[in-house]
Order: sequence, then structure tokens, then C-alpha cells
Amino acid sequence: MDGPPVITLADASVGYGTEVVLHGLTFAVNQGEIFIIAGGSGCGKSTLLKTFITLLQPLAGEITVDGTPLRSASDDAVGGLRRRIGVMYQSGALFGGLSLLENVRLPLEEFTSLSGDALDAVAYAKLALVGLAGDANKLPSTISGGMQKRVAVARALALDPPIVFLDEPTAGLDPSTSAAFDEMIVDLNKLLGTTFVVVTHELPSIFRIAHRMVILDHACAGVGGIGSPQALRDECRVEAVQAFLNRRPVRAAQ
Amino acid sequence: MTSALPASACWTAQASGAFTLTISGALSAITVAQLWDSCVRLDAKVSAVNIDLTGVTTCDGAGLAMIAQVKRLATAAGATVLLRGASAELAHLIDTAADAPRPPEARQVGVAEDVGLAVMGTVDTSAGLMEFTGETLLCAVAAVRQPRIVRWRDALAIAAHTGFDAIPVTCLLGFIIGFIIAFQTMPTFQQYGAGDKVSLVVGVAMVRELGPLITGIVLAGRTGSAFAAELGTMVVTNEIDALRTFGLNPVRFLVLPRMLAAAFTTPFLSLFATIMGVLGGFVVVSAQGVSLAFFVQQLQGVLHGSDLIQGVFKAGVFALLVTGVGCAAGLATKEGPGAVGASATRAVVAGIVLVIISDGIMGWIFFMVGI
Ligand SMILES: Nc1ncnc2c1ncn2[C@@H]1O[C@H](COP(=O)(O)OP(=O)(O)OP(=O)(O)O)[C@@H](O)[C@H]1O
Ligand SMILES: [Mg+2]
Repeated sequence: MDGPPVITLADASVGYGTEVVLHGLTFAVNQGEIFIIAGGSGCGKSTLLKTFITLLQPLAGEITVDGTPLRSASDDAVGGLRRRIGVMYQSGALFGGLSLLENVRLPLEEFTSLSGDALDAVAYAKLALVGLAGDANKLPSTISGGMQKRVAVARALALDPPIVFLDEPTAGLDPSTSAAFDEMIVDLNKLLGTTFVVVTHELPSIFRIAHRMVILDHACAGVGGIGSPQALRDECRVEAVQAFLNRRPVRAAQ
Repeated sequence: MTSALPASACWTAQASGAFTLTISGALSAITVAQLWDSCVRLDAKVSAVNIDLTGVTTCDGAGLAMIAQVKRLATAAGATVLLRGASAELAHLIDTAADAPRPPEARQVGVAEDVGLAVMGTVDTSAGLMEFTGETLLCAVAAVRQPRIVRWRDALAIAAHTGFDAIPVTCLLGFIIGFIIAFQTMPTFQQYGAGDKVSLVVGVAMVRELGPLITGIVLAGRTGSAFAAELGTMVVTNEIDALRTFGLNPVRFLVLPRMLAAAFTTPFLSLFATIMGVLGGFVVVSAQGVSLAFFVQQLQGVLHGSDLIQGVFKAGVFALLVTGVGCAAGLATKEGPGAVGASATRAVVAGIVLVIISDGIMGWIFFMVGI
């Protein structure tokens, strides 16, 4: 995928307050790409994602998402950006008082001119994509953790945002549901040209859907490698990258 | 066909019962909102539908939902549906959306069933409350036998919060109420030339009734609700389950320290409220030229040590009732984001009701016994 860049990082640092989690990040995510963020547990994947979706400010450098520079953007610009991105949080974060259908309907009600029947049909269609249309009337507390994740994805897709961020969408799903999920991402990406930025640990899923990926390295608190999964596996010599893609423990440096 | 819209949809009738729906242009939430009504409608005698998507340039999720809805309704009406001109991905996604099962219609609940459910709910709640009371009593007995099982350190921390931090508000309320009672009854007493007797009213009311009552109500609003919310949150986040699976009894672990802390601190709070209330009354009568010595002397004439003990005893009972019902409400928290709030509300309402009812009952018992 060689679309124009939609997310660019220029020597950016991310973290919490004074605690820098990752620094010296310089790369870009292109339009229409399925881009994977991977790396060991606790290396800062969720932190990076939270920065992309404007919940955290970059600590240094600059990050531009869909034309909006995050450090210098006005509140209005950030508000506008938030409407152009879809987010699935690692914990799901469904509205517990609303049924699954209502969870997906809510953004549609607020931001489109669709009427009653159409709203329901669109919401049902989104739920159908994640295989949960039949459970549309249930409350989030009465479905399993994996199902909650799928609903959260359906909600992230509700407004057909051009960029969708998913934090471990298939963690905790069985292999076959997880594979169906991958197919859905690939289909949506081809059909709508949606850019997907996905945090995931699942190697089969990465090799199936990723156009490019970045592997974050806990050791240097920065980028370990970036490129297509195949290229990284075959050519990158960074220990964290090899350990990740070959599913083996990190070897201590000599 | 040209159109002002960037997208269009039109139905054309073919041979008997066969129809073609031609959709073209860019389908987005905006164009779909305008096309929906003309697109999603079916002839009553439809037997075959051709959906021609050759002219569709782009199609987002809303467009997909619209096409899927037509397919779904037509299939439900027994018609055969053919998609033409759709890319493999679009066709796949449309099929996924159109063929997905919908949830069964919600069952209507009749009045009789409604009443039955409500009754069962009440029975359930009462049973739960009795079980909780029993468990708490058992724990209390065990704690008397073996004080080591009580988490005293927790109890101390809770006592600081429920007791010490509540001193300002309880004192303030006590003072204001004492002041108001004196202020409001003063004119009537003065009519009979007994303005100096106001102190008796304030003294008796504060010591025997209002001191403990104010404290109980503050406790229900401040501490009962807090306990319910704390334990309720622990239920929602499965912390209570985690305790249970460790073989730890939540009543011993969480409820007992809370009740003990409150039972220990509340009598003191009640004492402070009473003293401040009497002071509030004195402020009013002192404006009438009554001296502190005379005020105290008058109070000593009508109040005995037993009155004070009565008040303190009441405060202790209120503490046990309010914190007990607060913890019970917390542990009975259901699922969902509103659940913790509902438990806190229940704790406050039940707490205040229990305080006032038990106050009445204790007042009556003290009267019968002749204290
Ligand atoms: N709210 C926070 N305040 C301060 N530090 C935090 C906060 N959340 C996370 N961290 C720290 O930031 C680092 C990265 O955390 P992050 O959640 O981004 O990891 P992750 O890569 O998403 O891991 P996982 O795969 O386990 O989800 C960790 O060292 C963590 O301790
Ligand atoms: Mg994470």
C-alpha cells in the first residue's frame, strides 16, 4: 500500500507526564494500509495508541494524524479528528447500560441523518460483521469477554471512519472466530479503503492481514523494526524482532 | 439517468413478480439517509429481485446495510435475490449482513407476571437480607470468641474516615438545629413569661432525640452510601468473587471492620452533635440575658445521666443498622454501570428509614421500661 501518509511521527516521544515510555519514534502509516503495532507486553503499544487517538499528548517531537498535528492542534481540531477515527479499547469499554444494538446505534444517532429503521439496519449490519446480530438485544454484562470485544469493534466501525484503531481485537478469541475477524478486516480494508492500525500479538493474524508492521523494542524504548512481516522476519537482525516473529524468548545481549 | 444526488436508486418492474433495483453512485451515510425510503420497500407480489450495483462507485457501511436490508426483506418474502456488479468483498459483506440471524422478538410481560416478578423480587431481597444478618451475627460471635480474626488495622483506617472526618458536619448540623429549636420556640414560651425555660426544650430534645438522630442521618448519607458503593464496586469488578475463591468470607473481611468502626465512632459523634446543639440553644437564650451558670443549672434539673446513656445507646444501634444495611446493599449489587449507584441509593434510603423507625421503637421501649 503506497497511499499518502495518514499518520506521521517525527522523533516523537510518548508516555505519561514525566515518564517517557517510548522515544525517538519516526515512521509513517499510509492511507489504506493495515498497519500492525507489535512488541512485548508492557513495551508501550497501548500508550502509543492512546496518543494516536488524542487521549495522551506526545511528550516530544510531533505526531500528525489525518492532517492534525497533535501537539499544536486546537481543541476544535482535536474534536474534529475524533469524529474521523474509530477506536476499540483493549478493555472493550462498552456502555453497560445500553444493549449491544444501542451501543452501535448511539454514534449513528448522534452523527448521521439516518432515520429509525435505517439506524437499526445499519447497526444490525455492523453487528452482523462481527457475527453478533442475533444477540443484539443483550446487555454487555451478559455476554462473554470475547463477544464484548467484537461488539466494541462493531461500534468502532459504526461511522465508517477512515482510520480505525484496534487494541488487541482478537485477544481471547478462539482461532476460528479470530480468523473470521481477520477476513472481515481485510474485506473492509479492500472495500472501503479504511486504514487499520491494529495492536496484536497473534503471529498468524499478523501474517494474514498486515501490509506493514512496527515491532517496538522494550530494550531501547523505541522502534525495533518496521516493514512487512515477511521482510522483517527474513532480513531484520534486531533481537527483539527476531524473538517476536519466531516466537522465542529474547536472548540476553552478548 | 441523471440526478442531483451523487447516488440514486430506482425500482423497475420486469415480468410478473420480478423486479430490478438499480443502485448507482457513491453510497455513504448521507446519500443512504436520502435513498433509504425509496430503496427499502418491496412490492407485495415480489418473487424475484435483481439488485444491480454496476453503477456503484463507492459503498460504505451504511450503503452495505441498505442493500443487505433489501436482500433480507426480499428473502423473507420468499423472493430469490440476485446481486449483480458487486465486487467479491462487497458481495461477501452484504451476504454476511443480510443472512445474520436477528434476536427473537421481546416477549410481552403481562400484569400478572409483572406483579409476580415484583413479589418474587421482594422475597428474594428479604431472604438475602436475612442471610446477610445471620452471617454477620455468626461472624460477630466468632469475633468475640477469637478477636484475632477481626481485621483491626482496616477497622482503624475506616474509623478515621467514618468518625473523625465526620466531626465538622455533624457538629455544624447539631449546632444549627439546636439554635433553630430555641429560636422557634422562644416566642411561644415568652407569651407565658417563661422565656428562660427554652433551654429545657433544647436540652431534652437534643440529648434524648435529636443528637443521635442527626448523627444517624448523617451516617446514612455519608457512610452507608460510601460502604454500599465501595462493596458494590468490588462486586462489579469481581473482587468479592476473588475473596470467596480464596476461601475468605467477605463478611468477616469487609463488613465486620466497617460495622465495628462505625459502632465505635458514632456514639462519640452523637455526643458532639448533642453538645453543639445545646450550645446552639444557649446562644439564643443568652441573647435574652440568661447566664451560662443558670442555663447549666436548669439543664441539670431535667436531665439525668440515663438520658445521656440513652442517646449514646441509640447512636450505637443506628450505626449498626446503617452500616449493616449499607454493606448488605453493596454486596447485593447487580451487574451494569447503574448498579453501584442503585445500591448506594438503596443504602441511604433504607438507612434513614431504619434510623427513624428504630428511634421510635427504642423511644417506646425506654418509656415502657421507665427510664
Ligand atoms: N496510566 C499510566 N501511568 C503511568 N504509566 C503507565 C500507565 N499505563 C501504563 N503505564 C506504563 O507504560 C508502559 C507501557 O504500558 P502499555 O499499556 O502501553 O503496554 P502495552 O505494550 O500495551 O502492554 P500489553 O501488551 O500488556 O497491553 C508500562 O511500563 C506501564 O507500566
Ligand atoms: Mg496494551
